[in-house]
Amino acid sequence: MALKQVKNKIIATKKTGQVTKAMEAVSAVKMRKSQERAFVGRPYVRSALNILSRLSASQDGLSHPFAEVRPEGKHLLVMVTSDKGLAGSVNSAVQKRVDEIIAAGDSVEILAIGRKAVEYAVRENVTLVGDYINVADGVSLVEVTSMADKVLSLYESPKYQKVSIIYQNFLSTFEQVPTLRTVLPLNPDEIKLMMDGIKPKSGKWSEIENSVGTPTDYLVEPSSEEVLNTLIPQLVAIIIYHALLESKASEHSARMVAMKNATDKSKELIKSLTIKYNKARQAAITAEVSEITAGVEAMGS
Amino acid sequence: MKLLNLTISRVDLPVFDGEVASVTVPGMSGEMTILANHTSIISPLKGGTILIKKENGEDESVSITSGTLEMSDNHATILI
Repeated sequence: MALKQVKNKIIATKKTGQVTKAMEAVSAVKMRKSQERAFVGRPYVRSALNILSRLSASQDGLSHPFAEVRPEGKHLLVMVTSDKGLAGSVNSAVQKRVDEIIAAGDSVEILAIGRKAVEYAVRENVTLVGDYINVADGVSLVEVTSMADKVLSLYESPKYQKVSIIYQNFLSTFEQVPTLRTVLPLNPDEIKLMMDGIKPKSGKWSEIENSVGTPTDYLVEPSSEEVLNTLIPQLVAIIIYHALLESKASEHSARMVAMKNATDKSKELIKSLTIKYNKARQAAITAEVSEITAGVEAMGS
Repeated sequence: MKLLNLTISRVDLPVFDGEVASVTVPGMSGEMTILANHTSIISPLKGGTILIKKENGEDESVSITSGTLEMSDNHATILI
C-alpha cells in the first residue's frame, strides 16, 4: 500500500539525515582542529623557505645536485588525498589535475598519500612507487620524515626529471583549490610562489606580511653545500608536512559542507514526503467516508 | 646593551620568540654563541642544547636533535 511505503521512506530519510548531521558535527570539530594546525605550521614554513630563498640569492647560489635542472626523465608525483570519501569534490579535483598532467604526455609515477590516491593509481594503471595510508590528523614529523627520505632516495637516481606534489590547498572553509608544486629540483622562483600561497585569504592569519628580506651576503658555515645537505631534506619534509596539513584541513572543511548540504536536502525531502503522506492518508479517509455514506443512502431508500 | 631578536620555531608550535642577550647553539664544528648585531650567517646545527640568556639574567634551554640557524638584521631564526 502506498501509504505504508511513503511512511517507510520518511523514516529512512530521517535516519539518513541523522547520520549526515552527526558527520557534519564531527567534521566541524575536526576541521577547526586541522585548520588551527595548518595555520600554526605556516610561520615555520615561511621562515624555512625564506632562508632558502636568501641563500639562493647570495654568493654562489644553490650549487647542489638537487638544485640542478635535469633535461629529461620521469615525473614523480606525490599525490595527497584523503583516505575516506563523502567529502565533496576534494579528491576528484586532485585526480582531475593528475589526469591533465598524464594527458599532457608526462611519464608519471605516483607516490600516493591517502587511500584515494592509491585507488586512483591502481585504477589508472600508473606506476606506484610507494603508498602511505591512514595518516592521522595530527601528522607526526617522524612519519613525514620517512616520506621525505623516500622522495629524496628516489630522486637520487637520474631516472627522475622532477618531483612535484599535488594537494588541496586550503583557502577558506568553502574554497579549496588543487595545487601543484615542484619540490625537486629546488627552484627559488617556485619557492617564492609557494610562500605567496601560504597565506589564507581571510581570518586572523591573513594579515601576516610576506616579506622576503633583501639578499644579504651570508657567512655560510661550514660551506654552502653542507648547509644545503641538511636544509634540503628538512625543506622537503616541511613541504610534504605542509601539504598534508592543508589537505587535511581541506578534507574536513569539504566534508562538513557536503554533509550540511545532505542534511538540508534530507529535511527538504522529509517535508515533501510528509505532504505526500498526508495527501494519501486524506484520500483514503475520503474514500472510506464516501463508501459509508453511499451504503447508508442505499439502506435508507 | 643591545638585544638580539630570537625566534625558535618547530613545525607544530613556536618554541621561543623574544629579545635575548645571547644565544648559544651547537654548531656543526662546535658551540657557537651569538650576540646582537652578529654578522649574517646560515649554519646547520647538530643535536644538543640551545642555551638562551635573557636580559634579566635568566637562562632558558631547549634541546634539539637537528636544526638550521639563520641570522640577519639582528634577527636570529632557529628552525628545529
